[in-house]
Amino acid sequence: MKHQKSPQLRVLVVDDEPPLANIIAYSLAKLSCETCTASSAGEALTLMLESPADIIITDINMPGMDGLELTEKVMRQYPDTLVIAITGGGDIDTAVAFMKLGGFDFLQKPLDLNEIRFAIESAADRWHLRRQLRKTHEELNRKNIVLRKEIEARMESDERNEKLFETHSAIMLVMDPEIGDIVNANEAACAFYGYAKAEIGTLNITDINTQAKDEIFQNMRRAKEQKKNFFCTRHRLANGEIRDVEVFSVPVKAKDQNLLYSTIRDVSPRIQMEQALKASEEKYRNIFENASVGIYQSTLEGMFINVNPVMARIFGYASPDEMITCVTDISKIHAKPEELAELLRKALAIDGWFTLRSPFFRKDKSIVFARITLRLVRDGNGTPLYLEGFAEDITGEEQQREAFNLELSRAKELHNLILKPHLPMMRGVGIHVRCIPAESIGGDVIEILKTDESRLLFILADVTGHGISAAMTAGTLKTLFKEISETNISPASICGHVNKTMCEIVLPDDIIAAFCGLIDLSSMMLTYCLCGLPSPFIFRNEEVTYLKPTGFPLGVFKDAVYVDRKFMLLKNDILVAFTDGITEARAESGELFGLSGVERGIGTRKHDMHSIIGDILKEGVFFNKSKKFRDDIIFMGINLFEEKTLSDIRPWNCFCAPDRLAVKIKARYINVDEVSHFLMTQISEKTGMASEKLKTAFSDLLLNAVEHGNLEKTDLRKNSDIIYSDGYRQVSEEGKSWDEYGERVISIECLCFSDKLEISVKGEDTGLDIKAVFDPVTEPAGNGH
Amino acid sequence: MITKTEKIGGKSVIRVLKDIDDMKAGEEFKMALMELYKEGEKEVVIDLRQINLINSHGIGKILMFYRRFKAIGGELYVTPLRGSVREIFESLMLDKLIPEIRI
Repeated sequence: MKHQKSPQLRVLVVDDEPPLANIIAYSLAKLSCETCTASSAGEALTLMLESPADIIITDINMPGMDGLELTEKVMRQYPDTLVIAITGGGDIDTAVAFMKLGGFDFLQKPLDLNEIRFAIESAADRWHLRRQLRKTHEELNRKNIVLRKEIEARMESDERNEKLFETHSAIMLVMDPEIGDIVNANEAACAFYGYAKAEIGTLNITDINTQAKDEIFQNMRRAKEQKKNFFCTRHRLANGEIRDVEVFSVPVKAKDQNLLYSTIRDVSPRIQMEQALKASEEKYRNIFENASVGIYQSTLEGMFINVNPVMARIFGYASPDEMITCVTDISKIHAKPEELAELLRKALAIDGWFTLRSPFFRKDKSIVFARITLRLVRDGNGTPLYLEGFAEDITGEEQQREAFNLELSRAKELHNLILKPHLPMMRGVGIHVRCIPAESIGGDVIEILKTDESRLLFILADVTGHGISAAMTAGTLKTLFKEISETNISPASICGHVNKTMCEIVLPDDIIAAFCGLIDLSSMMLTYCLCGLPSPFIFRNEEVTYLKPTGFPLGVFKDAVYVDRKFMLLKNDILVAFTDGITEARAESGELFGLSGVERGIGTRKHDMHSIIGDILKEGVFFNKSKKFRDDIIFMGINLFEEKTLSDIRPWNCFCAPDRLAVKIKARYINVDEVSHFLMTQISEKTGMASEKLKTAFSDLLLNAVEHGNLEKTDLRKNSDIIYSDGYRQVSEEGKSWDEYGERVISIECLCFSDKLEISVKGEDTGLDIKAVFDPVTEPAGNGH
Repeated sequence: MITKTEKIGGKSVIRVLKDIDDMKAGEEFKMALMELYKEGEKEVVIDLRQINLINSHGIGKILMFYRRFKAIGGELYVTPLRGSVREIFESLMLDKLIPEIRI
């Protein structure tokens, strides 16, 4: 009998007492269930056959089949149905039996409607849950079926694509994950590994994979269980070569066998490239970190971007970081920031590397000399990005250089002492010596000695080359000459002696060219040996006569014989000798100056020795296109004249070197204006410091020195009316003719330094009236004794 | 190369191609002469026709090897001298020492 319909839940009420059953059914109707009733267990089972109920509520005590039996049968036939029992009060045993049969709940009489509703609601919840669970389960099953079908389909597809496997360009291996045997390999695999097809089939994966066996099998297991499919490893080829590979392995089932299907990719080139890149980066980093020079990058504004440890160390910082942090402006650590600024200007203007040697401040403010080599880095459009550079600590080098320069300057001083000849003052003789060394010191040497009142001995020599080694030999030669000349004044004997000694102390490929001569003023005879120097000449009445060579250069043939040659001199003759630095001067065309150049310099005009030498040199400079010659040059001029006769010649002894000037003149031959002019010209050539003011000061100095022979004139000179008067001049000229006054030698020495001049004027007499020097100009340092 | 050596009619000819006027050129010239000396050459001709200048850097070498060749019974010659090279040879009297020879 049907009471109501419910789409969700079917409830069957079984009771042999219809009123109770109806009450239960009525109350259930409110719960929107489909409810039906049965008056016996048998009827209930029949109804169940027609349409199984979801929930059964049954009385236990019923005639015939009781509620327990019904429950047992329902549970067996309809396991999803929930059964709720109604028992008499206190019948616990029955209730326990019911629950053991699989009953859901039991209600005790007298029945409470609320209890009935609660029981049914619980049952309904349970029923819904069960249904949900079943649905999910079914869904899972369905999905499993789809999956299985897919796998099966794929296997079939693999089999169908056997040929594709064979010819695929990818390297493919099939292996047995249990034992590692290679079951199959495609053509690409055979080619890659270098095995024949049959051969590769006999291999085990452990023959190919370089990993440890355990690791290989563990990985195959993971691939088989689909826990990991991608591996990076290294495979060995047939020729032993090892390649980096990436392997993708998936399990497949073929002919009831579980296999691994692996695709292999050779990544060696990539790995190699990566390694090369890494190595290169590493190398750069290593270079940067461990370079023996400092390396840095900085902004154009002077902030460090990057410095390496050496850079930090050079500048006294504990670490690159500390240096970058502490130095916010590079010019602040530069002891000469203007040099750095100049370098930056250059780098901005021209692409390329620029070098600077400069003192910098270390962190502790001590000085470090660094050689900075830098360049500007620009982007593709040429916009300046940053500066990069190297720094080398050259403090040691700089100290060495300083020490060497000091040594060299001392050597130069010493060489100057050696080089400077005596300029003996002799009656009727004027001497002019001019030295033009190619470097600070050189191999040309000269000495002029007064052996007695009427004899003058000289040597002019040139040692191969220039520079320190030549200077050493030249020094020795000069010392030797002086020693020999104390006992022997024949040029041939001197040359023979010098030759013998020098043969042992010069290098076998060096030679010494020399001109040694003796002038006897009483007989006017020149006795000489000319051994390898360019021919000296005698200038007489505007005619030039060259002397002929007499022997081989010195220091070559130990047993060479030297003989004297003689030349008769006359008053007013000028003897000029020179070393080959002038004749070997070269024009741009390659043409040599030679003796013809010397002759051009002499010209035909009336000369004295000072102007002859000056003119030859001028011509040489013009020919050479430079004041700097490639080899050392020494000029020597000797002028013979008649004492006490007034002539155009300037009988001064004069020594000219690049940084010094020495003039010795007898008071009688001094024309203050002329000497001042000569001196100023020379100073101007050497330093460019000459000026009218200096000339005035010097003139006064000289005049003071000259007139100290006439101390009584000192007071007169204070009066400008007197000093410029004809009378005063006459007195002065007359004074010069007195030997006591005119024979006094006035020595003028002028030393040129880079920033100052030192001029001294010294007379043979003593005493100085400082008050006599009027209008003293403080600029030149000097004194007039 | 500053020199070139060849054999002409039983004599070794050392052709000087560039002026010998500094230490470096002198050293190269010396090496070339040393080669010939070591090879035991007895007759050596120095050909200076192509150059304008040989100064003491070169003369020193010539004199050094003049002595050496003489010591082993050899002979040193120069090609006929001209111009500035003759001037230099004469001032050193080398023209009296080293015979000129045509090759």
